[in-house]
Amino acid sequence: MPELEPAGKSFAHIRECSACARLLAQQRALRAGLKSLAKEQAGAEPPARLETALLQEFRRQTHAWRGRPAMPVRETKTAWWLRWPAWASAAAVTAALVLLLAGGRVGNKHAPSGSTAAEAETASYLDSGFVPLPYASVSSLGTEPDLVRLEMPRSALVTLGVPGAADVTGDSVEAEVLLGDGGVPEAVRLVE
Amino acid sequence: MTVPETDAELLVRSRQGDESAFLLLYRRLESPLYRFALNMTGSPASAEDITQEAFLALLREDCGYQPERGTLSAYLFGIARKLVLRHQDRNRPYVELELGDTEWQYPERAAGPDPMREILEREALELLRRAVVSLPRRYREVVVLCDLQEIDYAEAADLLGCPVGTVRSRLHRARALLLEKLQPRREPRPDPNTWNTARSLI
Ligand SMILES: [Zn+2]
Repeated sequence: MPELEPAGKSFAHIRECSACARLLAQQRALRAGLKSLAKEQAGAEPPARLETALLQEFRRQTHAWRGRPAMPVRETKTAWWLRWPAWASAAAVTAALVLLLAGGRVGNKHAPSGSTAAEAETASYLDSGFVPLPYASVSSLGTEPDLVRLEMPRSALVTLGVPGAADVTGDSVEAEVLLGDGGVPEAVRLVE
Repeated sequence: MTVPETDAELLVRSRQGDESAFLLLYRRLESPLYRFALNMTGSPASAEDITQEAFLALLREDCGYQPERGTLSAYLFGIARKLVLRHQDRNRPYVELELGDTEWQYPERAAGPDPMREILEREALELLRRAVVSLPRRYREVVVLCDLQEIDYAEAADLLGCPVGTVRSRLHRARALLLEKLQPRREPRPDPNTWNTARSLI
């Protein structure tokens, strides 16, 4: 609240003018009243049942995501996570650089062809703990994504929201990366 | 020690199905959001509904949060503000605040073991609370955030998506409206000239 104390000449006026004195008193009273209300409601918390209800809804929804694999993270262009901010893309670029420098193909898993099969395959990857990189598109994973295993900066994985990365100690961690068409890193997960 | 995750990072993890991230995010942001809804609607039941709906919106497929456009708090408050509006539409016709002839006088120095005084203070606070709820929405929002939740102007501006100057001017007007509402109608008001003198003192 603004300071309501009159000073100098104004104070003299307040002493002589009952209307202004009254107004000033009211403003002080309002300030005190609002402060009391603020203090009174400072401890107001939503009831605990709200947290329970939200968690239930969370579980129901994440279950629905599993039924429809990778829904929240597999949409192209318009997916919310694709519009992720600079920090995420910077981290992704770092990750991509690390990956490209590390190079090396480990394993070459062949899957049945056909787009439905590809989707199912992708879904199964995403279901098994892989987190798509921000620029990734599901289609480029194709039916034969390559899997590479390499050391990555832990901070990059944390930034990308890779499950478990925040709990690991040390600056670098071992990660598995799915490479899409052209060897572009598309998804990453922590090696347990 | 690890650096605490930002709200946006927690949201990413939540949307990947990480329950603990969602819980952490909820516990970080629930209180101010709930209080805002409570102060805006004057109804604990509505505040609960609004808080729940706002958090559920984060999980929806069409969640439009874009971190480069603002904080997650601001996004959540934006949802809550829309829900408050809907709550009001549902509760029309809007009941005009009736303060009657009760003189609103809040003692400047509260406390003290005088029970009569405490009762008067209770009543005064109740009148004030009702006066706040009866303010037009844009004025109510700034009083709730800045005066009742004691959030600074800059953060309030962020949450409301408006310039800091707008917060200031609305707050000034809101307090004048509150005083008007709290004055018994039979009281003569100071004439505009004396008002201006008094305002220049602030
Ligand atoms: Zn005067």
